[in-house]
Amino acid sequence: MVLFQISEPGETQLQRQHHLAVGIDLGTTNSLVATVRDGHAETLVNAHGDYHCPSVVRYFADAPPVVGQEAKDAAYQDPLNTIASAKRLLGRGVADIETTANRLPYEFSSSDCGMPYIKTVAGNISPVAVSAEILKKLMEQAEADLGGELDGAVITVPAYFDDAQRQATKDAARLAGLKVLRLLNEPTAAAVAYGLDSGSEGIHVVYDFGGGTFDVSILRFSRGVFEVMATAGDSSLGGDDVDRLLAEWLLAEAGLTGEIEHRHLRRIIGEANRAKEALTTAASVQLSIETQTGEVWQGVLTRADFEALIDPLIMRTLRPCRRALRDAGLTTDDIQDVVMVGGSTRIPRVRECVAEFFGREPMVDIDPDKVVAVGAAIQADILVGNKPGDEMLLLDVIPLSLGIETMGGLVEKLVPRNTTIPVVRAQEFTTFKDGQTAMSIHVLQGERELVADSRSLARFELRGIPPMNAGAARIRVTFQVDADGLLSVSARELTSGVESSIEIKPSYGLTDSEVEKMLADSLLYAAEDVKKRRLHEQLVDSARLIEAVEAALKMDADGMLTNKECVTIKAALTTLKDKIQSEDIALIKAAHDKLERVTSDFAARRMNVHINEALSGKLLDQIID
Amino acid sequence: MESFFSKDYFQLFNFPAVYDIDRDALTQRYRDMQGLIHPDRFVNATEKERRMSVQLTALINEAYNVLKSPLARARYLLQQRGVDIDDSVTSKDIAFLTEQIELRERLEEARQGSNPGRALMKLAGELQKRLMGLQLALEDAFLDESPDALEKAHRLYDEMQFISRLNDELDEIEDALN
Repeated sequence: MVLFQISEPGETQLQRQHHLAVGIDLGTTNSLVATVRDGHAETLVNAHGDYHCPSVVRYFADAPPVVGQEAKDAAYQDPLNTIASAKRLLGRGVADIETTANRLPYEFSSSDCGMPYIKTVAGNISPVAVSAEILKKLMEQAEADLGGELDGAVITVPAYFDDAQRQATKDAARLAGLKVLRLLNEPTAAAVAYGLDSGSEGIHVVYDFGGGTFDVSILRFSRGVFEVMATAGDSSLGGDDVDRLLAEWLLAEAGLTGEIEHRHLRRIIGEANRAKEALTTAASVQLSIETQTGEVWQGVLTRADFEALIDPLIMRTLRPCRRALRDAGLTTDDIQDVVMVGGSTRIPRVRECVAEFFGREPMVDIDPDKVVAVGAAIQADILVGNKPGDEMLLLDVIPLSLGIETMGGLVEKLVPRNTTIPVVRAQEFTTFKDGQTAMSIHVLQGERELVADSRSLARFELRGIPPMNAGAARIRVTFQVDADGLLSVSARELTSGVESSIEIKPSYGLTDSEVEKMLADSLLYAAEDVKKRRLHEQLVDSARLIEAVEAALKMDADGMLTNKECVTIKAALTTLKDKIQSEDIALIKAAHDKLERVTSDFAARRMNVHINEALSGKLLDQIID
Repeated sequence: MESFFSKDYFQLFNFPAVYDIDRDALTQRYRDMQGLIHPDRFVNATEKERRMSVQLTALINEAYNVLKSPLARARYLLQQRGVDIDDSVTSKDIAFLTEQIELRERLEEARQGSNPGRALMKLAGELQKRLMGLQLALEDAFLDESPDALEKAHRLYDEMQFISRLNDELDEIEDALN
């Protein structure tokens, strides 16, 4: 017997499959995962009822690593194998961390790809792999809670993260087997959570002082559009620095000098952290630490002394505030309100200084720890397609200028900071020697004029330039920054039409094959799990494609496709649906690529027609107005 | 798609190609277009659509940047009307050259004076006023249909470019003071 499915007209629209998507705040000290459930965004708790997952991973010689509170609790007894604050090392080179690393109680080894690796009993571990462990833990927690595999995640990054740091974050997600819907800037996420909550239109400042980074963003919220006007910050300034400053004070007061054992240093930093938190409410705090000779030093720190100690750090956050205001072309009078995000904004002195600078009391009524994850969850819910997306749009910017090296070690900027993304910019260069057939291109990021002062993102070579006189070749270098803030660069010689395809090797990032190798080497997943994960990723991708193509056919097959085209697309669609059952990744992938290929022209036609229709519609509206 | 990339920036926004542009309407149109083509709207689309969305959004962003900036818009309009703008050629206008030297000297004096913050702020105010005046003059020049109007617009653009750059330098000096 055949059962007919009975449905009301329009009902299929409502019955769209609900996709599981989360927002992840991958923090320096703590990470959180949130989701939208029944139209309401909430942070997810683990089995112990905590929504905080300390960003700490402990490695073992013969057992899988542990992540979170359990690892954090072991930090004193096993400091070298317990990795905290890995976010500070993401996307950094060996040379960069020499300044940071002597403050971090780990041992480092360098690697072929220029990334610092941390020496542990489980081998040398990259900061990317440490972050992947944290993401994996949160993903598993969310999947257990939501009762299914995730379709994707929005992961937040500090707005001031450079390209290498963003790329490293995305690599960590790939390693964890997590599909990234979008990398979202933390202050933007906070603004989403806050703005949608209060619905207040106007210009908002988000002051985001976290465990390891400081960001400030100025956003305009108007009729459902969040537009980032300017962003500035310091990607290596955070609450950790407050702890370190306090620890140094403790060392000096207690008369500790010279080399201090890792374990001991950890304890002192722990004591400093405790003192900082106590001083949020108390006027003074009792301190005690063990000296090298085993005696116990005791002392008192008053809030006034503490504030005098950390004032220079707070002043360092106001400089970017000033610059962001100027870049946005605003004064403090234009600001409607200031939103505080990040654990370090709990320090009363921080609130005081911010209030003084902006001339108004900052908003502290939303939990500064949760707001970023909640904003990310809201965005993830929209991006994954659970909501009709046209109710909110985020327009974000690139935080740091991008350029390339020119003669004399100077940087020529192609994309200035605070340009709205996505952006495509091209510039022409020429050869400087007769018969020159190759050109080396060095991509840099930062505001300084000298190459030596800028962050090197990538170097590549354009080969196969036909020999010509000096200055005759025309090489067009194109920068594209996508909506995740990630850069891709291509170069082409115009006079000959010779186009070289270039694979860019990021200076501190990972190539696809390195990610593959790391995944194989890592302890993240057992061999079968890797295969299962991979299959799952392919299935999610293919399901998404099928959904997109079916929706497109339903809407536009009539009028935009010839019968023959329609038959070809439907055949490819049926093949992919069929292959999905096979559990053979190669077969599914081939069918997937085929469907992408045969729908390519259709996609272009649809895009064109719809945009033109929509624009002329808008024009009509205006005439009527 | 192709038809999109071959449009000039004014056509793209469905605006008449004039200098005096309605900023609010421009911003509204920009947001409407972003709402349709931004990559966030194509996360679940095919790869081809996602790629096109990035390229189109980048184009709209670029066009918006040019049209909303009084300086970039003047340059774009001049180029549209066939004026060749060569930044390496210095002005032959003696009065303007003299003024350039004077303004540079004033910036230097302000920087080295006893109260640089105040002096810089005063100069910044003057430069802002100057830029507003130039913008109004450019509006007239671009409407003027007499044969030497374009020449005049070009001269006004050169002035605006100089004042804008000086203003940027002033900002940097102010920034360094803080």
